[in-house]
Amino acid sequence: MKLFLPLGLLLLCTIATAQEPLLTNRATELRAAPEFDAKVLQALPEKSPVQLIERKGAWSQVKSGTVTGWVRMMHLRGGVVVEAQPQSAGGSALSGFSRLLGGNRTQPDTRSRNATLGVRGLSPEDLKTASPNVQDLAKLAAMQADKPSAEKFAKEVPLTKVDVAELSGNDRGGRK
Amino acid sequence: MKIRTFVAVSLLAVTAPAFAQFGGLGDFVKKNLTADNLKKVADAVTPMSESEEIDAGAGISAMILGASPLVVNDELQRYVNRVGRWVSLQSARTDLPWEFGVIDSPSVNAFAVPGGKIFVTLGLVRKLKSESELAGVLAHEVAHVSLKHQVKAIENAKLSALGQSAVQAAADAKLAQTNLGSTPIVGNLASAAAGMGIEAMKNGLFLRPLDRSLEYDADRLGVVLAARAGYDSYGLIAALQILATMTPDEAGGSISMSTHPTPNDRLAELEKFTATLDKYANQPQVGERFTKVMAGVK
Repeated sequence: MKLFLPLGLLLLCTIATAQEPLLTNRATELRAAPEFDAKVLQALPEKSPVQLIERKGAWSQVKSGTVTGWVRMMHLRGGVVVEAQPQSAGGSALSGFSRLLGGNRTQPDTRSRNATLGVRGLSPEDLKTASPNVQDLAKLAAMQADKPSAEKFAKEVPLTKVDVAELSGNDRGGRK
Repeated sequence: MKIRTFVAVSLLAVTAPAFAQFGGLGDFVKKNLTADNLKKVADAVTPMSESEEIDAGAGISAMILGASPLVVNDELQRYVNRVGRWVSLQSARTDLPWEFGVIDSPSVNAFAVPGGKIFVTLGLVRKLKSESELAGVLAHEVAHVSLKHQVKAIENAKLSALGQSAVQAAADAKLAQTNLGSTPIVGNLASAAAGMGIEAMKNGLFLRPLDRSLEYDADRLGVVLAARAGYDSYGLIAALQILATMTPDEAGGSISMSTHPTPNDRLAELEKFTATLDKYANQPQVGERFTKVMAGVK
């Protein structure tokens, strides 16, 4: 049996704002259209910074310098590195964000250095000491969507159910 | 399962001879082998029922909402519930009472609570650009619930902490209800399991990270659930890229942890499935409906 830490919530993790550029995580190409055979506008070496404009399927439209084009979405990563924070005396896993936002850059992002747990409203302490909010718990239930309304909502687009197998192992071998 | 049974048996086995060594079971047994203590052992080794899971989730949710209330915007709340419910209908647990809430926090975060309650912060929703990205985020959380990650964590915590006062207390309905203090106990918050949920939050039990492999599992299943719901398969990936470009400076949310995989690591894991992802990449992103709802958010 797998041993895992008791926990619970979360997970898309956290943190805040300040839009940083995405970085290419390998040498790739900026193309004129979101297609593999579209004209190459620019060769992008690894770690080229690009600004995201929009995306379409598996492609992101980005700006590289003054050139706008399309790059494979999976060739883009965040570039922010957060320095490891020392664990506090309590030893709680909450006390540091080490590597939370990691990237491949070796230069630590100094702006992140003191960003431990300065949260408003949702810090671990806030959550531990909160008073149960029964009014909003009731409100949450009142906003619930039942199956028929969810199905009707999907039909408006329309979004149709698709048979998709679970992912296991890996299926590399497709086009990158 | 094997380990759980083993521990249960060991506990009982160790307990019984211990009594014997003190000669005559007499007072010691009377004092310790109480119905209450036996119930605690039984509770700890009995898998949580679905209704207990739902009640525990209500307690945990009440605490989250106590820290950060729902955004007052019915259109937004109903919208997120429809997206989430549609995604949850693609999961293995379609009959849970799924509820989705946008909480009024500038931090960028999402939570899954046992029993099918899912929260996303307004800070996160504001960062997203389309319904498929929202669906991807919700699908990751739905996956945690569908895979019962939190339920298993609670069961493990109860077992490993059996005998330790903190979590034993958490399992004690009476104590938990006392801790509600002046809060009126309403509906399913009056249950023992809800009390346990509240207590578990107070003890910080739910603030500990899940194993990173469980995060990857939830990412993989999340991508699948969103694609089954008909959304473009890159929604969650787009959300992870947004996270990957942010610095913790500002609104920072932070109940994240040192052991949490970085967005870049999560992207690298998902990249192993590029061929499948590409198959469903051109399903609808549904940008318009999302933008319209967000236009009404102050």
